[in-house]
Amino acid sequence: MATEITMPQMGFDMTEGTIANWLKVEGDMVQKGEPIAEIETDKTTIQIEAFSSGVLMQILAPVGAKVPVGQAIGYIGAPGEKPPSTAPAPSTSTQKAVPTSAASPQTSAVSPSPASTAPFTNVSPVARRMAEQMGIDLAQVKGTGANGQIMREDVEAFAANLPATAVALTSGEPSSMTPAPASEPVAPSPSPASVERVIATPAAKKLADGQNVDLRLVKGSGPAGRIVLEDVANFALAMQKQPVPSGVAPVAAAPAMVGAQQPTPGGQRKPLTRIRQTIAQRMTLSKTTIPHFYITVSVEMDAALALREQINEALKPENIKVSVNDLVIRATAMALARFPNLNAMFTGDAVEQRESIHIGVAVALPGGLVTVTVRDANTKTLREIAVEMVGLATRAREGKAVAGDMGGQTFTITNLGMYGVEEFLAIINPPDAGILAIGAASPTPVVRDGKVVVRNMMQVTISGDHRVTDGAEGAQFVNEVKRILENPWGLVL
Amino acid sequence: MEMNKDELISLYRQMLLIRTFEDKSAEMYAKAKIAGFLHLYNGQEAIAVGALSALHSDDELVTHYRDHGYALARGIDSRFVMAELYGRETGTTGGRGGSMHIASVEKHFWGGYAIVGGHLPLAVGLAYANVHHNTGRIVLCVLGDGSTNIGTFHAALNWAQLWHLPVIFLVENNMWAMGTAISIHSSVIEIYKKAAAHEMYAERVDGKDVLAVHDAVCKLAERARSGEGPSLLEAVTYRYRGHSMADSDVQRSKEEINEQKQRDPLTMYLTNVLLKRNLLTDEQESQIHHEVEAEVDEAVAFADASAEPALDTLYDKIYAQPVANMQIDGSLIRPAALYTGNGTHG
Amino acid sequence: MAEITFREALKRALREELTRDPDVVIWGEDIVAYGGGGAYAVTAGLAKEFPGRVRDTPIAEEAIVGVGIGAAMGGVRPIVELMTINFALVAWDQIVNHAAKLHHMFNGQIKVPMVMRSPAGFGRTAATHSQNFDSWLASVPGLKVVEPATPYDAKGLLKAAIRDDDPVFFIEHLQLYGTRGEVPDTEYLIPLGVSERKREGRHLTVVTWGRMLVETMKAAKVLSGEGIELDVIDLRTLRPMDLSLAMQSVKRTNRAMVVEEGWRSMGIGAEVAATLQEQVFNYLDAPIARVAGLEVPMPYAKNLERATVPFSDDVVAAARAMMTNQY
Repeated sequence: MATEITMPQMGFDMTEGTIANWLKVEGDMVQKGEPIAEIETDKTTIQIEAFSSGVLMQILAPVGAKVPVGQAIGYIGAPGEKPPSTAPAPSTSTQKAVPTSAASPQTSAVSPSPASTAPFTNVSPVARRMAEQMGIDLAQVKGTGANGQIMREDVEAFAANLPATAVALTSGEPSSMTPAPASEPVAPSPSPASVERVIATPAAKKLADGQNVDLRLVKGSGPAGRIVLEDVANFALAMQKQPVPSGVAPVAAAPAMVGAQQPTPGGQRKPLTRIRQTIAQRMTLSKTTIPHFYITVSVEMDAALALREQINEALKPENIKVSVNDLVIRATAMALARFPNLNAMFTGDAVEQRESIHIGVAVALPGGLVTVTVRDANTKTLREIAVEMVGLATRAREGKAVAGDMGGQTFTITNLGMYGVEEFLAIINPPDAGILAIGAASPTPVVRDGKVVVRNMMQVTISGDHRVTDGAEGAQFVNEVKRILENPWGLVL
Repeated sequence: MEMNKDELISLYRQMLLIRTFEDKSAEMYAKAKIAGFLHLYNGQEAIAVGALSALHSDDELVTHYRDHGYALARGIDSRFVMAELYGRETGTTGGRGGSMHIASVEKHFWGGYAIVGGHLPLAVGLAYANVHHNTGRIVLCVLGDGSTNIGTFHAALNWAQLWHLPVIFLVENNMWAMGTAISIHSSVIEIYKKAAAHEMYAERVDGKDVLAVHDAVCKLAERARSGEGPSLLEAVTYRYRGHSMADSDVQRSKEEINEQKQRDPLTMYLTNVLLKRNLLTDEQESQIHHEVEAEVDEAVAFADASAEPALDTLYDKIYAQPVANMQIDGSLIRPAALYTGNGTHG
Repeated sequence: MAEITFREALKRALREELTRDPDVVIWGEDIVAYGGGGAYAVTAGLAKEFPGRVRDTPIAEEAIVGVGIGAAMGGVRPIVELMTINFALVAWDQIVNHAAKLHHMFNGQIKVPMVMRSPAGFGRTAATHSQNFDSWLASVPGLKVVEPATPYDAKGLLKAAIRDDDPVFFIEHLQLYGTRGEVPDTEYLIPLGVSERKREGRHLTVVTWGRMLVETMKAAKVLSGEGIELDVIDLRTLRPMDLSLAMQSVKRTNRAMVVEEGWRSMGIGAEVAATLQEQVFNYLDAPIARVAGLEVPMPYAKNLERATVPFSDDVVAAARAMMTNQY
C-alpha cells in the first residue's frame, strides 16, 4: 500500500519547508532510513529520510515548492503499484505547494485558520470594541492599518459618516434606545477624549453609586482635583448655590422634567438651582427607598424653658444665648448614646453603627435648606453647642460654609417651631437611620394629678428607617428624649 | 556478572528495541506527533543496555536528557515512554516532562535531566541518602562528554570523593557536545583522566561493546557496594543522528558518520557474539525483529489513543504539601475556579 | 517566656528538629569549625551535639543546593545554609530548575523536602554582598519563600519549613540576628502561607515583612502621635502569598502602602499592589504607595548605603504624604 511522504517537522519552530532537492527520481528504489530529499527551512537545509522501504512512486512537490509541515510531498509504494489516482487532498490545498501557482502571501500556506472561517480577524481590539458599542458592522469598514487592519480611526471615520442618531455614545447610558435630543451635545464623531471624564478614586465612585451622587457635581480635594471618599461623603449632604449647568441633570431626575419641557402658557419655567437639584435627588431617594415610620410624643417643656432662662441670664455678659433647639440637640445626642442602633446606617447587607454622634441640624435658606453638623454633640456642653450653632447657621445662610460644616451627620433634627408649627413629619436624611421633627413649645391644657393645667407642650416626632429599627425601639428612643428634656438638669450636669 | 543465554539474547533484544523505538520516534516527530526537542540514542544503545544489565534493578539511575534508551533498558513500558513523547496523560510523567524528562521512581529511575550537568549534584545527594538510610543501593549517574566541562561536574566529583559516596559517573563520550567536536570543547580528550583531579578511580571502555560496558560497570558497582567509593567510567561511542531532530547535522562529515556505522553495536554483538556462539538462529533473530516492531507499533497506537492531560489538572502537584490560603491569591497559586482542594496536591 | 535573640530562636528551631527527626541534616560552608559555627553563628555548637549530621561542605553553592536536592529526593530532610543570599546566584540553576520543578515535572513522583537558609540584606559589604532576591525567588512556582521578622516567627516558621515536603527558601535578614523578642519555651509551629496583623489601626494599611516590619512598627509609633494609625500586615511567607488580611484591611482603611527593602521595580510591592487593585479596587481611596530600596548597586560608603535602603523615617514620610493627599 502506498504511504505518504510528508513535509517533516524538523525542529520545534518549523512550520513549513521548501523542497531544495530530490535525491531520488520517480521509480527509484528507496530504503527505510535512506535520505530521499533535502528540505530548506528558515534556519538550515536538512536531509529527510524515508520512513518505509519501496519505490518512490510519485513526487507531488517539485523543487522550489514551499510546503507546510504534514502535507504530502510524494508517495512510496510497492514495485508496480500505482499511485493513488487522485491524491488525497491534504488539509491545505496542494496548489499552494506548487510554486507556479499565483504567489500568495507566505502566510496563506501555513495559516492554521483559513480566512473564510474567521472574518474580520484583522481588527484592532480597540476598534472591535468600539464597533460593538456603536453597533457598526465591521464588514462595511475599510481598514487603513498594516495589511488592511481596521483601526480605531477607521471605525471613527465610518461612524462620522452615519446619521448621529444611529450611533450610540461610547460612554454613558444605553442611549441607543432613546436617540439623543438635538439639544444634547452629542458629537457626530464620538471620540473618547471628547467625553467629560470625572477623576475620582474607586472608593469615592463606589460610595457615589450607593448614595446616588452625581460625581460631576462634586469638587475633589485630592491631588489635581481628584474626588476622594471624604468629598463624596460631604457632598452627600452639603450643597452649593451655583445653578446646575444644563445638560448634566442626573438621570433619575430627567424623566420628571420631561413634562415641564415647555412652560405652560403664562407660566414661568425656572431651571432647578443646584440646591433644589440636590434636594430633589436626595429626598426622592429617601422617600422612595427608605420605609419610613413615625412616632410622636408630647414633651412638657416648662422645666427646660425655666432652666434655659437661668442659663441665658448667666451667659448674658458673654452675649451667648442657648436656644430651645440647642437643648434638643443635646438631649438627642445623649439619647443616641443609649440607643446606638439608631446612630447607624443601612448598608444593604448590614447595619453599621457609627462610632461618633454627629447631629445634623436643618437650616432654612431662601430657595432651599441645608443641614449643618454639630460633631460629637454628646461630648459638648450646651454652651459649646450654642456657640457652634450660631456660627454654623450664619455661615450656611451667607453661603460661606467651610469644610466640616456640613455632612458626616449620623442623625438629624429639623425644627419648625419658629413657624408656629405644632407637629409635622420629616423625611429621613440619608444615610441616617432617623430624623426628629420638632414643633413649637406652646401653652396647652393638660391633666396633671387629676387637674387640668396649662403646660408648654412640644411635639417631637421621629421618622425611623424601618430597615434598621422598629416602632418599639423608636418609641423608647423618643421617650428617652422626652425624659431628658423634662428633667433638664441632666443636660447641664 | 556471568550471563546465561537468555540474558545474552535479552541484551540484543533491548538494543534492538531502543533502535527501533528511536527510529519510530523520529518518524512521529517528522509527522509532528512529537514536538519540542527530541534527542535520539541511535548508535549508543550498548551503553545503556550494558550498564543497566550490570546493576540491581533497585539501584538508583539518574541520566542526561538523551534518556529513552535508559528508560527502556530499565524496563519501563515502551507504551508509556511513547505516550510521554506525545504529551499524553498516560505518559511516564503524565505529559509534564516530555522526551527529556522521562522518569519512573517506582523503577528507581529518577529522571532524565535537561540542564547539562544539573543532575550531577543530585546523584551525589541521592547516594548520600542511600548511605544515610543504609540501603546498600548505589547510584548510576549518566552524563555526556559536553557536561564534563561545567562547574557542577567538578563540584559533584569532588563532593562524592570527599564523602566517599557510592556513585558511578558514566560518561557517554560520543565525541560531540551538540555540534561542537570534543577537540574544540575539552582540553582533555580522554575524558576519564579528568577524574584524576579528584583522585577518583576511573576507566575507559569501548562504548559500542555491550559486554565490555557490562563488565566494566559490574566491577565499578562492586567497588561502590564494598565501600570503596565513587568512580568514573568513560564509554566511547558515537551517535548516528544529529544532536536533536532540529539538528541539520552539517557539522559532521558523511564520511565520519559512515565510518562509525561500520562498527555498529547491534551488528557487532549479533555477529561476533550471538551468531558466532550459536546462541541465536536467523529465524530467532527475525522473530525478535518482528516482536520488537510490533511492540513499537503498539506503543505508537497506545500513544495515539491516549488522551491529553485534563486541563483541570494543570495546577496539580506544583506543591507536595498544600499551604493555607493557597487559593486566595489566584495569580500565584491556582484560580479558585480550578481549585479542587482535595488536599493531596497543590 | 524568655526574651532571646533572633539568632538563638533559629538555633533552637534547628536543635529541636535535629532531635525530633534523625533524617534532618544541616550542611553548609563554615558551619562547624569556623568561629564555632557559621559566619553568623546560627549553628554554633550543633555539630558537637549531633555528630555527623551537621557538616561543613566545599565552597560550591551549586553542589550544596544540588546535593541537598538529591538527598531530599532520597528521603533525607536537609537544611542547607548558603552563607549569604548573594551566593545563591551560583546555585540558581539548582534552585529554579531543579528544587522548584521536580515535583511537578515528574508528575508528583519526586518530592524535595529541603530548606535553604540564607541571610539577606546589607551591612557595609557593598554591591555583591548586600542584596535581596525576595521577588526573584517568590516568582518561581514550586518554591516556598519565607522571611520572618521576629524571633517568635523565626522559630515557628523555621520548624514548619523543615517539616514541609516542598523546597523552602528561608530568608534571614542579617540585621535581625541580634534583635530580641519573647519566645516561649514550649514547642510551637507557625504555618507557612499565613500572614499576620502585627498592629491594628484604621487609617492606612501597610503590607510588609522581614526587617521592614521592624522599621514599620517604629514608624507606626511616631505616626500614632500624629493621629495616623497604621494597620500593619506582616506577610511572613512571600510564596504562596497570603493577601487575605491585607484585602480585609484595605476595605476598612481605603488606603494601602507596601514597604520593602529590595529594589522597587518588579518588586514584591508591585505584585502586592497589582493584586490589591484587582481584588479590592472599589475600596481604594488613593493610589497604592510603595516604599522600597533605591535601584542602585549598593555602595560601600556609610552615607550612601543609608540613603539607598528604607528606614522608619521613610515610612513615616510616605504615610504622612498619603494621609494628606500629597502623593
